[in-house]
Amino acid sequence: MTTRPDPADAYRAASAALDERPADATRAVILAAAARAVDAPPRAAGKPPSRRWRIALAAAATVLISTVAVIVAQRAEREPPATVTAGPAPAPADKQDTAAPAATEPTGAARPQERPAAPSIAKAPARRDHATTAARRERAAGAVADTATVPSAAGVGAAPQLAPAAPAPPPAAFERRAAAAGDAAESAPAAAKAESPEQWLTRIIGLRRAARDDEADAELKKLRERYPQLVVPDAALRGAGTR
Amino acid sequence: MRDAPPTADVRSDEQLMLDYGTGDAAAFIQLFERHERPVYRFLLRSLGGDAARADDLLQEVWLALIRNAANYAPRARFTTWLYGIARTRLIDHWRAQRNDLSLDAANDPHADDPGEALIDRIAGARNDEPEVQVMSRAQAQAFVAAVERLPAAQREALLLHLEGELTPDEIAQLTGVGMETARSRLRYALVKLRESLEEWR
Repeated sequence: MTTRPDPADAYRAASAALDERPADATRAVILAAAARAVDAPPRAAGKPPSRRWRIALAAAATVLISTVAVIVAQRAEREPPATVTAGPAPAPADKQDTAAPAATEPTGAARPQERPAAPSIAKAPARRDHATTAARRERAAGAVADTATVPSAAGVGAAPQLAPAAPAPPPAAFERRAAAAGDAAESAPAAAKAESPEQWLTRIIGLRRAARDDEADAELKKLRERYPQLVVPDAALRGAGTR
Repeated sequence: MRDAPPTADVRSDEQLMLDYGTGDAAAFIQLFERHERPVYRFLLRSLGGDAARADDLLQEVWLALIRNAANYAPRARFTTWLYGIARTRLIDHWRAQRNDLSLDAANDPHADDPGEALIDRIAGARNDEPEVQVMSRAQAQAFVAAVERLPAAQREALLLHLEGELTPDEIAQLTGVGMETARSRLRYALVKLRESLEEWR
């Protein structure tokens, strides 16, 4: 019994016998192309490299623009706007002070002490009371003792601030001043509220010399109540006027 | 049918293609060595033995595969995809040559059981030892010539089956015909080749 030839087997045998193969140059081209494709940067499917670069550049540009915007905004906040202090044209001080006091009031946002060019703000010190200024200076001269004895504004119950008392001026100085200010002490009792302890003692000594011991005692008592640490010279004590 | 010597790489064609797509150059070399000659013979037989043209188309086929390596997804067998590229290149060549591209040949009246049995035998028993183990070069050339004389559609189905080891179903999907049509084409081709072989005896 003969078997029927199998065409498939025959075909395979024929191909093996003929040993057909492509040209070496063709193989080389194919293999080189395959190697180049591997060496090239890998690409994501459907995304050419130029698109990825564009996305990266867009993101960098966004960050840069945002940063610049923030910096510009911060600088604008630091610099106070010119319109806040730019008031009306510089005018004579008197007129400005009396006619439009409200316009010269520094606003909460302005910092007058940092802008010397603002005329309205610069005029403010001129409006101060000279007596107040003098009183402040007097107090500053004896500031150490004052601060030690001035009662706090919080109330009666507040404990006075005690500090080492500074040595009082020499009694002789009070006496000389008292001799020159005797008339002033008699004629200006209301000024005692704004006078310094030194001035007060001077007035008390003047009362002693004027044989007004009762008034002198009353003033001395007030003085000591207000300035308990104050050293009172002998000239201000009772009986000093007879010396 | 594979001419390449057995290699130690046991990766499937699909895995090799995926690996090449991720930058494994050695994977491509493995694929190329496996399928270089079968594809070349498929093209050569389809072109009537024109070796130069077969070289050109072979280069086009593999370069197309390289270009699409990154997008490869194993939706079907690798060989189905590979021979689909080869078939497309052939069609483009024939269109350029203004040849008759009618691959829908008339049905062969020889739709006998032996042919059907032959297809089933081939599809299910490819590892059987061939009856004809040795063939002279002259006989081989004659047999190859007979293959080349087959109607285009039958020849295509036969070569896809013998070189690409595609099943009738895969042949049908690749060529865009029904499964029965693909099976018929293959059957008729095998019957004709058998008749040729019997004449030589």
